[in-house]
Amino acid sequence: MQESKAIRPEIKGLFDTVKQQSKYYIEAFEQLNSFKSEYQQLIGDVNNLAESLALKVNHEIFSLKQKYDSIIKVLTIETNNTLEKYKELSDLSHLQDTYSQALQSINQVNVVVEKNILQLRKDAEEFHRELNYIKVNSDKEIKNLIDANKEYIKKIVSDEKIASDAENIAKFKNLDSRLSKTEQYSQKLSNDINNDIKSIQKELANLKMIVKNISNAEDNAIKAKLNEINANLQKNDLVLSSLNEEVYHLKIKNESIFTSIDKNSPDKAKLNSNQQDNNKLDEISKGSITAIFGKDNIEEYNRINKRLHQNEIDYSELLKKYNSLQIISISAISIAIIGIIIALIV
Amino acid sequence: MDNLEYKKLKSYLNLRKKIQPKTYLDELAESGWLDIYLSNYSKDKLEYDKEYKEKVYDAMYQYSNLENEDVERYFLEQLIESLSYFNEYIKNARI
Repeated sequence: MQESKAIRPEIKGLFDTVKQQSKYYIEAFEQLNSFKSEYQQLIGDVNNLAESLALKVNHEIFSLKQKYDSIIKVLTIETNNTLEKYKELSDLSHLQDTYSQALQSINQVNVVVEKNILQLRKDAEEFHRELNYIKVNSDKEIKNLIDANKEYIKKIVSDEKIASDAENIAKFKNLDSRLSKTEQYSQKLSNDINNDIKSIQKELANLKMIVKNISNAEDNAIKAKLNEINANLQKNDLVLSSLNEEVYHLKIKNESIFTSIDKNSPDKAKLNSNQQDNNKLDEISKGSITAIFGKDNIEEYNRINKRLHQNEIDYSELLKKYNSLQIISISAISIAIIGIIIALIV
Repeated sequence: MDNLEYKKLKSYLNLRKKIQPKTYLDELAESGWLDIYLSNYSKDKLEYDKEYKEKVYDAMYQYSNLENEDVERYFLEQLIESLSYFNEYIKNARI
């Protein structure tokens, strides 16, 4: 390139100097730019490092905060536990004081109890002495009372025995007489019944004859004969009913006699009750009818009982006879009615 | 723009200067008639049109055979302006 002639050489030198300086500046700026880029990269690295450090520090701070919080919690819990322990210790000291006070009161009570025990032992000995004295006296009194009661009961028993013996003997005599009377009466009744049976048999025989000859007989005579037979049969019925009533009354009397005999048993119960009250009365504990009434009376009682039994048997036989008579009479009446009907038909 | 790009641009500009044809301003500067032309025909344009002014002084710088104080003043002003910009540019980097 051609050099300019419009500018003086001094100015051109100035321009060259400036140009040279600009080159230096360019190099310096290039170097500066490279430094700047390195510096920027370094700053970026530093920033990244700072960010990572900040993150790490924040994380560490957070973890430290958590640890701090947990430690604070643990410390709070431990502090509360310690305070509770202190409170328990204070309670224990208070309990110890109350325990010592209670021990003192227990010692005082022990002293009082020992005094009371000594007093009670003295009282017990005195009580035993009094008790032995009372026991001895009461045994004596009881023995005297038992003896007196024994005598009194023996007396009562003997009086009762005498009275009941006399009463029973009178009753037995009365019963014996009444039984003999009823036996005689029943014997008489049985004889009457036998006679009536014989007459009924005769009547039946006559009836048979009448039935045989009924075709030849007249109606009026038959009716009269039948009325007669009927009257006899009614009579027999009345006799039998009166006999039945007598037997029934006799049975009721027998039962009343048995019940009156059984009524004597309260004496025995009374004696047994006395015996229970006084266990030492051995002779009365074997009490029985024999002891009260004696062996003779028992034999009498058995004899009366046998007679009553015999009367009952007689009564049953009479009842059977009565039944057979009733059957015979009913059959005779029915035969007679049949004969009459046949006669009327023929 | 890095250094390589700057060098490329500079070579392209030099090449363009070599191959570009002469303008009438270049011809007038080389013949010594440019001052008269400017004072007679384009005094106002030279004062207000910066691009035209730059072309006129480039032509005078390259093709004038005589020393010209206006050209020196113009380029010195340009230098001062550039240095002022430079000073302002490196103002933060000063110690």
